[in-house]
Amino acid sequence: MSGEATTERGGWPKDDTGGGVNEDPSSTTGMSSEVLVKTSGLEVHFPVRSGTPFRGVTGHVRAVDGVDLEVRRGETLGLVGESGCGKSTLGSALLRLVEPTGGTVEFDGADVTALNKSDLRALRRRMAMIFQDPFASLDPRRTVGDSIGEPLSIHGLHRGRNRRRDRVGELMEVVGLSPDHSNRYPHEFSGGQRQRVGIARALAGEPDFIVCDEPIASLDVSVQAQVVNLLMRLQRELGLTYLFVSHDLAAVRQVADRVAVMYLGRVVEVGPATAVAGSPQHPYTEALVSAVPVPIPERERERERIVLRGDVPSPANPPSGCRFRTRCPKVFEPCPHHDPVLQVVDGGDEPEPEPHLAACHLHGVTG
Amino acid sequence: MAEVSGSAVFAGGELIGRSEDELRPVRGAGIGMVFQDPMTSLNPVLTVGRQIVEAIRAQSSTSKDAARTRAEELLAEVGIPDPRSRLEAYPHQLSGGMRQRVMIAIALAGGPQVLIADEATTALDVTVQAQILELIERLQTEHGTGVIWITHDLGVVAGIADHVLVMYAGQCVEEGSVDELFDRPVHPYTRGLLGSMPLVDDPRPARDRDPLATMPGLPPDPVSLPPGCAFYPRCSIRADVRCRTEMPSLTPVAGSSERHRAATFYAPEGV
Repeated sequence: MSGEATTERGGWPKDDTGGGVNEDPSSTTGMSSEVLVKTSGLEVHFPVRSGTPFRGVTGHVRAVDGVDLEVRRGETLGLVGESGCGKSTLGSALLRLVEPTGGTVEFDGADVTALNKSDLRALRRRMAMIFQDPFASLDPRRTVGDSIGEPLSIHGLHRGRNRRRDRVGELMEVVGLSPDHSNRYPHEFSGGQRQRVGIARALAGEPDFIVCDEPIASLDVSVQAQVVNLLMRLQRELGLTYLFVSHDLAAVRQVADRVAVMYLGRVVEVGPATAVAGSPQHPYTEALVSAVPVPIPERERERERIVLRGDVPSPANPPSGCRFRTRCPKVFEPCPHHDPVLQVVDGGDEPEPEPHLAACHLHGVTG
Repeated sequence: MAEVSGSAVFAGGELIGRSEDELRPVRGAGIGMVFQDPMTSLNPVLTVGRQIVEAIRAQSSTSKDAARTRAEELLAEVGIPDPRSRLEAYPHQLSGGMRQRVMIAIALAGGPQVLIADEATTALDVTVQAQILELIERLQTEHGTGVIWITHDLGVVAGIADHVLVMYAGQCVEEGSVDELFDRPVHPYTRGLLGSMPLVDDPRPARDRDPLATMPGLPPDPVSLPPGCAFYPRCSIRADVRCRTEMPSLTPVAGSSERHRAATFYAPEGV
């Protein structure tokens, strides 16, 4: 593939308004129905090696186990789930930071899983990642200016020392940092500022798509809101598309247009954020939503918390049929025998412009 | 070692100035503690049974067998299935939620009157957090234990607390009943914290929501606190020179109960 030509997107950030959707005066959202990222049957299985020499591989942790997902240009897709459900692995697999072991990832029509190294590198300019812990993802021995400028040299952008320095300064300003601080080291910054450095670095390649992997989880509460607002502003100004990976459903509701819920390597529910959080159709989503505390005492007193029994089963050995059945308060006959697939569900009273899907036999036995 | 001064009274007795030996009967039997990360608080090379037995025998001269029976009862009480065989488990063989239950069992071993939970559910997933909150509420109803719940999560506070104290830079800046504090917050820091939280049950889609309210800047370095009010550099009010030079003290909030107090010179009108 001669991908170089197609990845040349001159004029960013000025002319990229998300495929011209802003021509519709009623639409100020920047979203479109054009699919930018698409996974089909995506799998990431990690081999489990025996502790005994020569015994070899004894099983597989199925971190991501057959995921079909679409991210549309200009939208934020929230990906929620609890520890170990595979959401971060899925995010990394989209950029092939971990190699998928099955299925495909398409980005803007190109099969990412089939690309060779140099084509992948060219494409990675358009896909970036923001990590949870900016301290762990920044090189402590490099100035933040060098870290932010590194993608520029990798992709051959803004060549020349002065142009590069100017560009790094611009990027720092965009994320609310002073360009005067480009010679400082990561430890000289607070957690929130380091996350801004991580965001500036992600923006350096002028990406279309950013995987935000728990971008606020390690920040002080009073700083989380600053970073959330920054990400939202950048999306509006630069027409970015986000996959926002988080265990925090309240934060996801603040930023995401659509939400996908993962449990044990699978997407169990996906749809408009208002519908998924407002009238969840999968018993796991229902329990998850009911467990999110709301800072309003009256509402907390009235709340019927659905408390799930037991622990999440091992992803190396998921239950037969529906993976949630061992903890599901609504389990019934077909659950151990049939593995439910995502199907369109009726989210209740409000008409939904977007399909709302859930993988649960309560909506008709599938699989 | 930290220098602790002032006064802390437990069950009528002053704690500050006591020796380690004099504190021993208070720790465990009087006040139990649950920490944030059970993996660093539990000993990884001892079975959980042995660690609970140790806690029981530290409080009372119980025989090993009786302590073991009691340990099994405690594990059952904190909702660990098949408690007898779990006594033999090592911490790494348990999930995060189960480990936190073991920590609670250890804290309960002395039959404390007060339980201090320091970010006890922060490292847990929300569905597991819901399990632990349910457990704490049940223990409170059954034993009448007082709970001090230390957390940064205002949502959890709204659900679990009767009375709330908000701290900033080493000082209490506001306290009150949970309803007073959440419905009529007075201190700009409390107001800022509440305003910066996204609400999961706000029906509006993300694109129709306003940006979250933010507080500029960061909490101050505790080594060099600003003169005057410690919140001054981040405050949205910053009325006058008084804020910069004088530390406001906790004073009752007009129109609230007398236990609602805030450390600000400029309580907003009509809250």
